[in-house]
Amino acid sequence: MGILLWIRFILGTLFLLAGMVLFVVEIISVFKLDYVLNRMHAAATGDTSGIGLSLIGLMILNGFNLITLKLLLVVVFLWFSSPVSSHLIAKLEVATHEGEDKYGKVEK
Amino acid sequence: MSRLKNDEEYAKTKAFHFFRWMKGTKDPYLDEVEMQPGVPYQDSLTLEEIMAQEQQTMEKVYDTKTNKWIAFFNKVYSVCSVLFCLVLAGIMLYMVASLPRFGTVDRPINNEVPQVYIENGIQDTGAVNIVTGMILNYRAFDTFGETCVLFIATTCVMVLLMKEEEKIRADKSLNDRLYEPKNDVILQNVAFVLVPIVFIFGIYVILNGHLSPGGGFSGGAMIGAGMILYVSAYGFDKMQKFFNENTYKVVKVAALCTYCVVITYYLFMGANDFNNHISLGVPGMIFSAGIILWLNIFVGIEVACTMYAFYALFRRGGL
Amino acid sequence: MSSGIQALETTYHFLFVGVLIVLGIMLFLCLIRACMGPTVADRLVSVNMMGTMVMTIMAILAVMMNESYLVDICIIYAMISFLAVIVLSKVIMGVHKEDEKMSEEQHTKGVQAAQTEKEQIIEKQSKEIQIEETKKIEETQTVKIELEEKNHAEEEH
Repeated sequence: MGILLWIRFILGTLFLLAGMVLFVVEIISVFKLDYVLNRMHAAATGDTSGIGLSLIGLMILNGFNLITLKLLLVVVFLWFSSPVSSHLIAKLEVATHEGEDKYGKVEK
Repeated sequence: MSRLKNDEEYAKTKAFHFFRWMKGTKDPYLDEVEMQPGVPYQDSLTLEEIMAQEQQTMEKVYDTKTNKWIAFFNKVYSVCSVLFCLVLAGIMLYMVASLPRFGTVDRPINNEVPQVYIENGIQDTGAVNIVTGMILNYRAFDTFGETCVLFIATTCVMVLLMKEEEKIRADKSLNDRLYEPKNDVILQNVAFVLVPIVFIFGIYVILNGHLSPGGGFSGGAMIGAGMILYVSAYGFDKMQKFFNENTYKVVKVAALCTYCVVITYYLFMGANDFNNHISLGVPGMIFSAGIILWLNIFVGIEVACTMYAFYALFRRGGL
Repeated sequence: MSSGIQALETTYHFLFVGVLIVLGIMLFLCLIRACMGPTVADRLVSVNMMGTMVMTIMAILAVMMNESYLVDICIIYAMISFLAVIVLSKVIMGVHKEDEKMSEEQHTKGVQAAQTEKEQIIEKQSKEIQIEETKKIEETQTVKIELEEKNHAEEEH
């Protein structure tokens, strides 16, 4: 029994730490890239797969009960909503783009 | 004017003299001062010229290149604001550090009031969630005040911002979707999936208010959020097919009035030690806890209508 | 988390606290990005990121304290942040397009006004040229008349 618990712990921790690594990559690239659309690409990575991986890890760590079902609902909701918000932000950037095209052409 | 005395008799009284002096027609010392309304201030400049002049003077005064003192003041101001924030944060952190620890026995809020609530809560109210039992049963009158505040707030916003429906439809410049991107297909498809989930989750939170954390306020806020999502995806025309001004009026006023009637009945019977014929049911079931479930529903309706009405009124000027 | 093994529980505790600390630091960095960002879209992206991190923190706390209501709050937070991004981006887009259209109208008005001014100036110049020409003609005529008068006078002498 104890070995099974340890295996569950290691599996969940792997998923959680993978999500954390994605979050760290997101933060670094958000500071390093120099245009909004590039930055948004990095941010969307964290918004979908970062939180998805860490919540799957938490689900494995928690075992099966009501919290797990609700966490699954959060993951499904985020997979629906986060790409749409990224899409709208990109549209906003394209609509409000001004000045010279330093980073390539933005077609309206 | 309904006076008992004639004008001649009234002219001899002291009240007549006093009011004559107050109005300024006759002064007791200077005699016969005609307080004429002064000549209205007339200026040869138009409003735009005055504004331009003021703008020029303000630009001259706040020009940091010539006015050294303003530049100095700006520097001192920014430094002082940062210092002020740091000091405020330090004071607050110090206060938090000196608070008693969470869950210790000798905290000042551990007095007889929460003890009574915790001991008698389930027998009195029938609600498993003691906080909801306190809010909607012991202190339901306070919650009625909060609901009235929501109602009055939306009414004030309606008085200030509401326009007639035909006017909005006739005038194209009032159309809120004139410049915005219309009918985003991705957003519409996602809203088609998400809005029912949001509504169902809000209804779940409202109906489980006496069993788990949540209740009318948070559930109503979620239903209102779902309505705002629907409107931003599909527009007001589609929204008005199932929620327009008439439904708003009926639902909101009916919820408030029913709340008032229920709480008045409950308080009247409780204060006079009558039997109120409301069964508390088995604690833990959905149809239990007496009036709490129904009051939760009314509060939820009120909050959902308030959220949507604020959004629609500030956005479009009509529901 | 009630596994009964002491070592497992302490490792769980340290794992969760460590992850929470890392997330807190990253939240602060997100706030700095939101203050720095030059455009509106930048700020919205970083606010959206902050929302994601707060949701992760809430989920971790829910598992750590074994309280299911925190996950409810997490769902509500996800909903509200999604709604905020949608409404803000739509409103800002509308306002920007309105501003653009207004400035375009003003620009066309300014161009029209400049054109009318130019036409007026051209008219004035042409009128002045005409007046000068008539003056010249008159002058030449007067000179001619004077010459003729002189000639007559000389002939009479």
